[in-house]
Amino acid sequence: MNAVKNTPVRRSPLAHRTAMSAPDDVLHLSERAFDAKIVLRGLPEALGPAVAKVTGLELPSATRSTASETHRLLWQSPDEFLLLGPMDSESALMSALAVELEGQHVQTVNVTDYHTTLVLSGPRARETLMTLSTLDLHPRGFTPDQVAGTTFGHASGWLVQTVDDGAEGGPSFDILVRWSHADYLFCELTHGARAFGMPEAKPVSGELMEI
Amino acid sequence: MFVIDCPNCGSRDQSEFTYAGEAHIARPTESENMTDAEWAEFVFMRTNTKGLFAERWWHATGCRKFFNMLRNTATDEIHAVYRIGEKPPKVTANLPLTPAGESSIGSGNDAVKIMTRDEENAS
Repeated sequence: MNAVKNTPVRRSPLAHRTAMSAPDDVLHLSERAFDAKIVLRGLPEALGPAVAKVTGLELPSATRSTASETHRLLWQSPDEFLLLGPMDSESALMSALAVELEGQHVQTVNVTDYHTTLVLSGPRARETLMTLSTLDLHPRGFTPDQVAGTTFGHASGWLVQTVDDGAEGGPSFDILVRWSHADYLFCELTHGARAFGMPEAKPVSGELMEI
Repeated sequence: MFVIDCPNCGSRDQSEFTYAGEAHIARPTESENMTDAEWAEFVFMRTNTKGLFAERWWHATGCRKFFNMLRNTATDEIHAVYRIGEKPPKVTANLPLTPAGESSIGSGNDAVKIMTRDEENAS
């Protein structure tokens, strides 16, 4: 996990927060900043071969994602995908995709600094997300590699399950949230997890939505 | 609250969606020859149907695509969801009874009378 929050040229939106955990390892909440994030717009027929050549990933079907050791590709809409990669790889990915997609009617946008990633893991992760979301988060309703764009409290974001429920330490979810909403959502998640003994984080400004 | 079947994402809560007005209103092709009254008709006038109504919705936090829905505005029952560009499917609406328990059609009570949608005009 990338614990870097400050570099000489950029500072993560949650640089003032530290990773938080509930007792007995039932829940962990942290930020993984600076993942490379690239939006791919275009028809799957055009994008598929180029993405496969650059990352080795197949395009996911609707509401799913595909992943390798280093990259993850999220379905966002029928003509839109979000490619995630390791820190500081966005320029190389953009260049490689530009070469492969030369002359085609597609668009690639570097949104690395538009979202940040919150990582929520542990046996109580699903119940914590249920306090903020209207999604069906039962293990049968939201499965590994599934993707959903939804709202968490007042913040909208993308949820993807990255680790299976059967894994040691419980399931893990990535939440891609807009930069300026990250502190709000971090605090809301700790607020929703109070029942599991999570200490509560208070927002720097604004106020929590009391449930 | 509704649970809406997005054609792309599946069943989601209404809070993820935004209402986008009446469906199947085509932009005029010869707009330079239109009178003010015809512009007003296109821009402002809507049917405000009680009963089966074709409307557009936008999945704002999910796939961010528009789609059409056939909804009974009297009962909020969603009869069909279909994509932009498709014709509305033929459906039969269950009409609500009057407060006295009579059928809403033919009861003589105009306040609860349901107007069924003319499917030929809409397509």
